[in-house]
Amino acid sequence: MQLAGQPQAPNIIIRGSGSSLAAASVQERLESQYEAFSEDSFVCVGDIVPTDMQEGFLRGHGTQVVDGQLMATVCGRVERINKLVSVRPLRNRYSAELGDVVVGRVTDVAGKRWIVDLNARQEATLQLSSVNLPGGVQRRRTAEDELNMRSVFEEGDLISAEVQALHQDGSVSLHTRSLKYGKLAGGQLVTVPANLIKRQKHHFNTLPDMGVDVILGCNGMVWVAPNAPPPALGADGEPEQAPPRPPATREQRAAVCRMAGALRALAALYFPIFQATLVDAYQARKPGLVDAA
Amino acid sequence: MSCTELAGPGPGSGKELLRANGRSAHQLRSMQCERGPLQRADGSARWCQGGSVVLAAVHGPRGTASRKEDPERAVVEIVFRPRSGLAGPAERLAEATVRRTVEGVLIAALHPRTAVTVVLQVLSEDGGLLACALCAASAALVDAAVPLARTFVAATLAKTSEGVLLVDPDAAEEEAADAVATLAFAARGEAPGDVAPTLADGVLACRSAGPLSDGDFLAAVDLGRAAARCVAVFARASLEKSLSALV
Repeated sequence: MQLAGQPQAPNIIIRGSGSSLAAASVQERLESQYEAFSEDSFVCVGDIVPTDMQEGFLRGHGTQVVDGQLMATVCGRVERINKLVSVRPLRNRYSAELGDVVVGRVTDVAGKRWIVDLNARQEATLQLSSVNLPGGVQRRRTAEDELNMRSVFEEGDLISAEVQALHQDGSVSLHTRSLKYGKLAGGQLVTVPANLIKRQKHHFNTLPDMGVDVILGCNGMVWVAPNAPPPALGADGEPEQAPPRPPATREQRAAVCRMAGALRALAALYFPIFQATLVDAYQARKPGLVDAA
Repeated sequence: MSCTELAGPGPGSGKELLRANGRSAHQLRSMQCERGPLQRADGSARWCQGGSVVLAAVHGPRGTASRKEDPERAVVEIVFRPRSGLAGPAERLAEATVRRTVEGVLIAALHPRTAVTVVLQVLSEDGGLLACALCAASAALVDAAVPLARTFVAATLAKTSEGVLLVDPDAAEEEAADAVATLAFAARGEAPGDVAPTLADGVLACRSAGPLSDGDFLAAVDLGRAAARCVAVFARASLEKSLSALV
């Protein structure tokens, strides 16, 4: 597994454990702590949703009432939260909500905006006025800025951003108006089903014990990188934009590969991905399975 | 396909009419359904019925040009692409049939000002193409998690010159037949306690060509319903298998 963004890779082959082995050991550990989901909570289109003789239930997404009975309109799992009965489909395209933290890839540079691919129904746009210019200067964007857009983000770059606005036709506008967002380099991207990553308080997780930083994008794209050094403070006391990092060491790469393997195991088991489950999955691996040849 | 001729009634063959490749008159061909083969589409499915294979891709509900959108409901767009050549009037007719069928099950009022696009690509043809396309479209809509009131299945029937109704004809049988009918039925979902999926009352779509008397037509609808029920059982089994493979 090669890490993205490394200029020259030394002759190291890191073999992570096969995903089936990882999944088995992760499953043992996780099932001991979290209750396993039961098989009979699945419904298909047109099935009657059992309401367990509840009085006065509320009908949620994915259901309709036909002849006084609750029928599912999508295939998925039944969710019952207090009196709300809804059916959540297992595999759904990511649909952006305001304020989501996402990881995307720049596919195109077009007049005063970048087109970013989020693995969603439509591509997202990142306006030139929604990024921080290098140097942190706040000024009106000139024609020269427009010509130098590729010096900020180029086609093929991975960026982390936040959803700024949703338009009526469903298109999404992003912004990177904070120093924690921006271009990502020197790590590994793992794509998992977007349903597994719920909206959380902290999408940027720093795990100093393991030596990795994990960015959980709501669109299912997760970025794993070695720990970044804390941002240096500039002359005015504000954190500066970080300088480019040196290539990762062997231990850092091993940690990143192991974390990526834990993510893939969680995705294969269809477990929700939070910092807690990620740490559990990371620690569940059998010793001696990651060899460095 | 081995060259067995149609075996007439002979000693010991009973009333079974053997077709080429050994099927009886009411026997369906083997079916295969692959769900989610395409990554970029919201939902996709490949449906194989004997030699006919159709790949369906669903995009939506998503925004569309303002002249096409309906302020109160989702608009259904179907694109039917033949295996080779350009789409012509036959493909437009198929598109209209599939569109009416999908509109019959889609809960369109849930997504106003959007469009649901279903693209059907014929990969190989061997009779019963419209029914295969309808089944593929249904599987792809379920895969895309588009809200549907019911799923649907379809079956093809052909009436030979001897007046026998054949289920799921292949290309040669369709060519030789007097009349061919494709029927689609909505599948009623399972309630707790059901053993197998059943079909809802009524016919969702019917496209027939060729002379059929009243009696023949009603017999065809009954036979089509029985055949579609087998297809529904298969579709349900394949869906449960793909869901359990996912989790």
